[in-house]
Parts: sequence; structure tokens; C-alpha cells
Amino acid sequence: MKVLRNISFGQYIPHDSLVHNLDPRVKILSCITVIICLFFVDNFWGYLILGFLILLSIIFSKVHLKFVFRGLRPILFIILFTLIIHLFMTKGEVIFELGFLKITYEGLIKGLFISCRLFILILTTSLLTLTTSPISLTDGTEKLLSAFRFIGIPAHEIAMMMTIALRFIPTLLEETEKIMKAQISRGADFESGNIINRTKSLIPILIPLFVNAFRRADDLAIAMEAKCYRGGQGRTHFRKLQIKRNDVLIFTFIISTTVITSFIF
Amino acid sequence: MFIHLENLCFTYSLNMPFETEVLRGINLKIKEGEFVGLIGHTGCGKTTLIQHLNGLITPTSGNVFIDGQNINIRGVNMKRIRQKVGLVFQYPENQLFEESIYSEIAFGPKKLDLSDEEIDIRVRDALKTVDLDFDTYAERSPFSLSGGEMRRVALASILSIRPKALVLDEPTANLDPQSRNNILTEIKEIHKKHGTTVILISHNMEKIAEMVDRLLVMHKGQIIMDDSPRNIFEKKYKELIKVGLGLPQVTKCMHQLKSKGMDVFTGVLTVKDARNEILRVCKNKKMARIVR
Repeated sequence: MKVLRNISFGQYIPHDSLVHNLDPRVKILSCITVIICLFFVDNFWGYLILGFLILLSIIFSKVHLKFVFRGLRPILFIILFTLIIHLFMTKGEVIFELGFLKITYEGLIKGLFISCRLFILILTTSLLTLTTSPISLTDGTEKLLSAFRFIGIPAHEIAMMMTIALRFIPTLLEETEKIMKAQISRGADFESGNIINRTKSLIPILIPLFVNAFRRADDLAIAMEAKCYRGGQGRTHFRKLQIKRNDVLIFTFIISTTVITSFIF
Repeated sequence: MFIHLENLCFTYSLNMPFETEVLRGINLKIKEGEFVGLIGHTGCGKTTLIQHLNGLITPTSGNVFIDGQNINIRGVNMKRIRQKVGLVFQYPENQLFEESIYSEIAFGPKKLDLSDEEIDIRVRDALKTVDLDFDTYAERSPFSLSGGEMRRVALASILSIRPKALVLDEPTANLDPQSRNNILTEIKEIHKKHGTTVILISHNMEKIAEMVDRLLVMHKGQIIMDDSPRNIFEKKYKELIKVGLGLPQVTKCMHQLKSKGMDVFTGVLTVKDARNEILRVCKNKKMARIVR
């Protein structure tokens, strides 16, 4: 149950900082460019520069480092896993041998590369969600996607779906916890037994959770219709997104840095 | 002492930015067979407190003893504790999941590894206690029931474990008056018949005043009053209002009569008692007038 409380990946931490006040579109596009750049770079210097860029943003965002790295914790396992796979599975010059396990020089380099890539990738995206409220994130996405409306992308609908999904994550987590506790009180046991039994023991959680989620979706739909929601057409926004001088400056800086980095390295 | 809480403290998200202190030094002893009411304003920690009673939450500091056993030390069989203390959550109908009402109620006993005959006996017994007919209901889906019936099935699914203590978190919230009275009568019945210890959280002052022998009032994570409902509603009503709680309508009425100069006893909890009390005072007045 503690696990459910400690999910900080994707959590928004309100603050008043340079990064928080950036236009969400700038933040989203910068993230995308940094991520694309990550896949062009095949040199440690490139990673160093990108890593430095992210570190700078973290410092400017005033978000506590503890928070940023707490979000990384669940992904650490995946990073370690890929590192180990690469260490042992790549053919090349053997630098260490233990029984049938061989670590190669190429494997080491490749593993570190992939780990760096994943590390920076997660850091970038989690910084985005840490510093951007779900609402401005979806507003930004809607604005960006509406550029593609001419090929039939339903920008508003996608953004609305995102908003609702994000809104209900904490609610559903809370509800899961409540149902789990209720079933434990009735004698359910989620911790012991083999895999089959443990999977079976999830049924008393999943069924009530789904039943409630569907009921809630129904209620929400009715509530939205009662408030005359008819889709995106002609819908105005409470907060208008406006590009300011800072946005332009920072966006230019990030784009030029990443483009130059991916060309040089 | 069946339930014994010793200096219980609990803080949510300890050492995190959103840290909140919910329980602040709770000391409480409840004897076997007592019928205790727990009231308090929303967010005062009632629900958190009762979740300590069957080990769903481990206290930040302090101890919980159930039947003389400290339940927060290593190696305690939590299943046994949860068999002793049955916890009925708020809106328990949200936890129903089985295909039939029978298997819903049999879920708990099955987890106790009882024989099929014993399970059958317990399911029939639990259904009878919540006043649902076995033949009509046993094979129906719990999702086809009305809200009040679902609530009763959920209650039965705890009763079938046969706990020594029953803890109920607002068992009548969101129910129509008739279902509400039914559920409360059933709880009273269980208490009488099996000598079950009952802890009842409720916002319904009338009902709680009428039902319980002992009333606990919580405020900001502490128990600020622990007395008979009569004493609390008679003598401490000002404090009660100060912490955001109300009085039963009749008691309020009596307090107002008194403030208008009528010399009535204010520790009255039911309409019937109030009527007798008012009549008594009126009669005295009449007598006084005659004497004069």
C-alpha cells in the first residue's frame, strides 16, 4: 500500500520559477528536441552537454533534487537491466571473464551509452511533468496538435482525454488503496502464495475498481453534458497561452544547443 | 481489556513535503462487549484511527493491543487479528465483486479455511442477521441489488467472519431513512445477541445518542471527550458545538427551552423522554400556580 503513495513520477510540484513559468508549448517542444537529439548523439561529450543542459534546467526550476531522483527510482531497475544485458550479450574484446559470463569492452561502452540515454530521457520527461501542471500540459498539447488538424487529428478530443486521464490517476490510486484495505479486512491476502494464487487474489480488487470506474465515467459524461459540453468547436480557454520574451530566448537557446550538439557529436 | 491503544500517533507521508499529523497521542481502552460511538468533524482522524485496530495502518509511534496482543510487532498473525476485529469501511458496497451473494458472503470464511458445512451455516446466519431471505437472495448477483441491500450484503460479508469486535465507519451514510434504521437495528441486534464489541462512527447524533453506552469525541487527532452520551450532550454541548458538531434535535430543543427559562433537564436523548420531561415541568408549574 505504501507503493501507491510514493509514486512521484509524473507528479506536478507547484513553484514559482523560470522553468515553471515557461510556455508549455516551449517546454514540450524542447523536451522533444532534446529526446530526438539523444538518439543522434553517439559520443559521451554529447551526453555530457545534454546532461548539463538538463541539470541547468533542474537548478532553474528550483525543484528539489530529491524529488527529481525519487521519480527515477522505479526506472533504475530498467536501466540496470539494460546495462547488464548489454554487458554480457555484446560480442567483442573480452575484458573480464567469470565462468561462462564474459564482459566485453564493446558491451561496456554500449551499455553505458544506453543507460545514459535512458537516464537523460527519463530525467527530461519527468522534469517536464514536475514543472508543468496537467492543465497547461494538455493546453500546450492541444495547441501543438491543432497544427495537424488538417490531416484529421482531433486535437481537442485528445487533449480532453489526457486531462480526464490525468485527473483520475490519483482518484483511482486512492480507490485501489481503499478497496485493498477493505478486502484485507475481509481476510484477503495479497502477499503470500504462488504466482497463480497472487494473480487470483487481484480479482477482488480489480472487479470493484472497474465497476466504480465505469460508474464514475458515466456520471462524468452526464455532468459534462449537463454543463453543455459539445466538443471542442468554438470552445474558449480560461487561460490564453502567450509566448513571452523569455520563452523565445530559452527556446532558441535549447534548439540551437541541441542542434549543434547533434551535428558535432 | 479487549482493545487498548497506548499513546498512538500517526503521521501521513512522514518526512515528505506533504507530511500531515493525523493522530496525536490517542489513549483508549475498550472492554469486551461495549457499544462505543465515535464522532468528530470530517478530517479529525476517525477513519485513520479505526484502521489501526486491525493493523491496516502501522502507527508512527505508540502501541495497539488487541485481546492483550501487541499487533505491531513482528511475527503476529494478522489474519487472526482481522478475524477478531471486523472492519466495515465507508460505502462497503464498493467492495463487492463476486458472482453471487452467497459467494460474496462466503469469501471471508473461505479464507479462514473452514469446512464447507461451516461456511454454509455462517452464510445463512449472516444473511438472516441482515434480514435478507436466503432463498431469494443467495444466488442473485450482488450488483443487481439496491443501495441499501448492497450495504447489508457487505455488512453480512464481515459478519460471516464472526468477529469479536465490529468496527463500522458510517454504516448508514447515503441511505434512505428506512434502510438506515434497518441497518442500525441489525447492528444493535448483533451486539445484544453475540455480545460483540461495537465501535460505531456516525454523523447522526440522534441515532448515536440513542444507541451507544459510551461516546468518544475526536478533534484534530485527539480524543477530547470520553463519557456517556447523556453527560456529553447535557454538560459539554458548548464544547461540542465549538468543534463543529451538533446535538440531537431533541436535546437542542431542551437546551433552548432551558435558556428561555423553563427548568428542564437537558440530558434528554429521545423524543419520548423529552415529552415526559416537559410534561413534568408543566405539571410542577401548574401545581405551583395552584399552591399560590
